Amino acid sequence: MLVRRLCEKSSRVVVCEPRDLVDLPVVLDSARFEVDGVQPSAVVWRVTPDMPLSASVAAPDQVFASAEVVSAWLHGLNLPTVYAINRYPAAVWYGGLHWSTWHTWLRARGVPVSALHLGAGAADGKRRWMPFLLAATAPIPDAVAATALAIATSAAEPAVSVLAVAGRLLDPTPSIKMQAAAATLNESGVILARVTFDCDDHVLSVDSTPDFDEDEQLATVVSRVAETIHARLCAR
Amino acid sequence: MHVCVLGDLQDLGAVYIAWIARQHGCTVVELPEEGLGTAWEYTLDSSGRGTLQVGDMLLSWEQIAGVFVRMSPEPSLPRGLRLNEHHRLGFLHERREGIHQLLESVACTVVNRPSAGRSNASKPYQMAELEAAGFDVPRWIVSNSAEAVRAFTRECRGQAIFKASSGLRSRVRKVDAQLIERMSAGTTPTVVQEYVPGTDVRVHTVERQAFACEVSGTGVDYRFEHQGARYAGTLIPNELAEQCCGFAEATGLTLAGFDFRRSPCGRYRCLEMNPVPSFLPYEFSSGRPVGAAVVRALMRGGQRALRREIVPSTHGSLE
Repeated sequence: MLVRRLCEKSSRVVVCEPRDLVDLPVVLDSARFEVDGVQPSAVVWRVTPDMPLSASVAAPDQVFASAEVVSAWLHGLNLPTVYAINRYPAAVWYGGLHWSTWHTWLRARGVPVSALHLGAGAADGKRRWMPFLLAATAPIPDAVAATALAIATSAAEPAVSVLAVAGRLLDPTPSIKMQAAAATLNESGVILARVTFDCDDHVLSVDSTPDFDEDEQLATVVSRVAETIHARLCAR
Repeated sequence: MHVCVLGDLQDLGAVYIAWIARQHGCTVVELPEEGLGTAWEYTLDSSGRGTLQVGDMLLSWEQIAGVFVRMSPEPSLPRGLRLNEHHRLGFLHERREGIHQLLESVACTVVNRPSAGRSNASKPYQMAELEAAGFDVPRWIVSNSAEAVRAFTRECRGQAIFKASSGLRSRVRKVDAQLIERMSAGTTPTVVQEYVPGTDVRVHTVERQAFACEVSGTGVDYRFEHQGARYAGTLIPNELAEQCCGFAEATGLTLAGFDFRRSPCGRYRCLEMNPVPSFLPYEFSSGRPVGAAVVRALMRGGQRALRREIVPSTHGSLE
């Protein structure tokens, strides 16, 4: 849908599956980013750090190859000549884009995040386990596992989950705290994300490659993303 | 005063720092990664308060001055725990993330916090950062196009090297026909950079101190060319030392290692910055006291954490 909308606005669009990224010829330096001989004005980057990016490479070399590919693209996405949705700071990308990385990032920038306890000692019946590698909460595991993993727990419950596009939330009445979270993400290069807030409007989690609940929502997001890209291109 | 050493306690850097810390009168608290949950455990709340239990010893985090970290690339499961490969990897990853979160959250000095200096995992990203900070980085491209690499090498009068684009350790080599052939057959994006003849200079920074060591008598990559390599302490211009310290501080690193090539005319070309530098070979051969500086930074950490909100950090002198 996004490709169609961008094409409607007379943009040339190249689509590449993440697993085939290794096959795209690229040339980068401190100012230039060429993909297959063309300098992209915008990149919609729906890739996460755990995705394999080198299907055509021999299996034993794929981890290395994917690391090489993503290191090049991470720089390309952060060049000022490219409008990337999303571009990531190295600290966030190599932190794995987990909720804990976002917590550290947002908290350091003054955005309120849900209170957490680290370590099994804080686990009780009122808290939920927040596995670092999952987007969802889980019941507290048994005491041995909880201690060996020094689990993170939170008493906060997800209250609302909102899409943020270019610093604005798709919510009719966002609070100041929610707006601050969206603005900070946008300033950090995260143009599109789903942000989950607790009942105090503190950030509980961030999903920067969100799925969409319904066609109407998807249409709104696509429209905004296409408009944002188009406006950036026209401004040049 | 308590100083923690966390992660891979067999790592020589960790062993050395623990030894120096004991020489300085510190109580060294050993926190092996695989011992989490059996030998030690912790709690920490959002305000940075909590406890560290190691055997019978119970400490509050306020009692910890600093944590020196060296994580193993191949960590072990807790003793006695057996998991299938899928669950083993999940467990190790989850535990590592938990420790990272702890290290990001404690108020004391951490050498180094996991989020600091992560750009080292993307050489082009880091080189752009170094250039923006004013370092003299030899010109470079990243490409998987044989034609682009050929053209760039010609611009460098045939004198160019190549190395991995990611943070994975790789040997630096000169661009040759073999590389071009491999690229023509299809390969990953690779850093190709102007070759700078001269002497390698490693600069370690610890807070506002810089320690320089030169490595001479080698060719392209001294890390892999031990024969004939000579290590010696050296002096670098004050402005360069300031620049290194400033960059490390801005990226949140208490300890950092900068790699330079000093050209025959004395120009310092910056190649990269390592956020987990192996400083022992340089210290042992040059006498530059990097380890002692790290321990002093760790010992100051507790006091700094308490003062952080009311006193701006001060700059010390350069060595």
